Amino acid sequence: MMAPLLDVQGLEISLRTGDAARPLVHDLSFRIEAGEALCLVGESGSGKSVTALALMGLLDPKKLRPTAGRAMFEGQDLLALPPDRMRALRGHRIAMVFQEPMSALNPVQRIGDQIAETIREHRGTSARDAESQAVDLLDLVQVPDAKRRAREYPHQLSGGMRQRVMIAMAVALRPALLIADEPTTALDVTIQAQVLSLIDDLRRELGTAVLLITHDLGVVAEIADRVLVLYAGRAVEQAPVATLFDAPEHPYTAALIQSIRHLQNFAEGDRLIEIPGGMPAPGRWVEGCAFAERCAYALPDCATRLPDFRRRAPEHFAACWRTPPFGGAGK
Amino acid sequence: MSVVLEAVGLTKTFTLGGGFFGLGAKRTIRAVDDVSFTIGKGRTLCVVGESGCGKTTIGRMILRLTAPSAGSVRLEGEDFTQLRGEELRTRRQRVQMVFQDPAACLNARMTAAEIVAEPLVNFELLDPAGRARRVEQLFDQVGLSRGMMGRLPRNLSGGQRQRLGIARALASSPAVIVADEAVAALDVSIRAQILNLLRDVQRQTGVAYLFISHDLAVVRYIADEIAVMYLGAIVERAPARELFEAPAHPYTRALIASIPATHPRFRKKRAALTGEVPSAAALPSGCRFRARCPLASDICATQSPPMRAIAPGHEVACHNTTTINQGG
Repeated sequence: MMAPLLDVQGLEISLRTGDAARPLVHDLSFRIEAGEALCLVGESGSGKSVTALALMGLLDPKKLRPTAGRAMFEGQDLLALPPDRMRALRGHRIAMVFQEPMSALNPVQRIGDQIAETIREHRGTSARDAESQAVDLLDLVQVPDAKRRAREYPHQLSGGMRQRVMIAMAVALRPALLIADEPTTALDVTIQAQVLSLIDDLRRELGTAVLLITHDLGVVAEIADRVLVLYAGRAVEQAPVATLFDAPEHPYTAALIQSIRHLQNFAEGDRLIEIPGGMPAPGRWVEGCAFAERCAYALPDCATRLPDFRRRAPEHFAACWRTPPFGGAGK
Repeated sequence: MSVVLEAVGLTKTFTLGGGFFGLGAKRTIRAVDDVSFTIGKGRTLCVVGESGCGKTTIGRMILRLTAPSAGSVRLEGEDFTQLRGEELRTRRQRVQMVFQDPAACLNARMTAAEIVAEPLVNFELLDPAGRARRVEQLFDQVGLSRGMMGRLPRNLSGGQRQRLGIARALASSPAVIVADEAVAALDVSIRAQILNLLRDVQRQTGVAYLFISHDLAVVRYIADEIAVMYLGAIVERAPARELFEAPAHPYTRALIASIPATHPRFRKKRAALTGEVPSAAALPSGCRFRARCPLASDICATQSPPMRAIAPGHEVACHNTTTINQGG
């Protein structure tokens, strides 16, 4: 069997507070196969974005650092790479797209030049070739009138166009893995659908694996092959996307799915299905299952005994003492 | 049904350019173009549209944070736009607001209880003992435990802060609350809590909501009526259920089709709409949606479609509505 493209084992990411280190992400393991789309889904503070940043070597070392585990990518441990090696890999074999593209684009450089520069730095292509490749890339990400647009500055573009430019830059060097952190969250709904379908098209055309980070199960339903659900810094469920939506094995996942479905399909006079309470603040130590205090199916032991992340079926894992059905959401 | 809020021909224009001494070419942007609606007591009108459609400007005009260029706002039968000084201050009690990011609009140095009491102090309502009782009652009403009264906003979760924002908005017993993207920043598991709370509060107090959102999926539950805006104008308005079951404007249809799937089996093959919203500074002739419209015909380029009724309470601004209905 071929090794997966990315193999994360026992990842722990900790916040430095004085002398102590408080873990925000605990014992996280997952794999991504070449060309696959894995969605990391969770609410704010669940640890999904710091996981992405850790893989990219972009954590602020004064505050956050990986404190255990490894992340094997093409034979190297991303967590142990010296900064210069990581820089060489970043943008080249692994690229990242952020929620707000403006933060990653140079405001005073024409977008065509920014893309061309990326190509020249890594490939040593001539200026002229890089320029024409930049236009081709803008074409690829369906920026209309690419030749003219290449001469514009980021502020002249709409949010959707900027995100396309960001994606063009990310795929410029044909990375094996594209990490996209909430790439459509800041976009209008009609544009969101366009950008998601673009990411999906590129994945198929270029064979790029995608690690997509989102809080939105709707985005998951649109694009994922497999899904990993995070809650309070731990994996609570992992499954192929259809399985997850059809037969969730964790009450949190089940409640989220019921909640978004109910919003689309409620009867007159219904109260929306809600999950009571809130997620523990990041880094707050919870002895047992972090979801127990909000869980309609919690047993007395759940608050003190942490359930293992166990295989429930081939390809389907969950961390819960209970088994479905989980019909009614919340307490 | 008594009308508590009425917008009549609300219009907001901004002037761009002009350059030094007005020598350059001036352009006028119609951010909001002749928008009219009414909201009844205890009812919810949702204004939905993408960024730049003018929905936030409407909210600001209702709250008198932005002066309209034309048109007026009637609050409980009185022309709110004309009020000045003490009269305005008094009437402001009746229209309050809840925003997207409660952290940004709550005073970070005030305790939760002080934040909720502030409108009572500003409007000189109740005596100190009465204020304290009112604050406790508001905490109960929005589901915040009284133990949180001494906390600072930063020590509350996002959902708790939004509850605080709602308690504050309710303090002066308003007739209308303008809620601008009130649940947009909340996590899915919290969003339903806040939508339920807004509904409960409405039943208890009879407050009307002008609920502004970019997200059609979210407003479906809370709305009695929905107005869809595109580039400054309302293009369709209908009772909530009818809008989802029989959307008449191609833009409304696209918005509905853009709601993300709730199961991978309903995955979309392609995006519902191509292209982007044009700049409000360069409105196309005729229908403002025609450049992205799958049904645009010759008339759309020359004539701006007027709003017309197609069913009770259901109006649409589209030349080709019948085509749509026949097309299924």
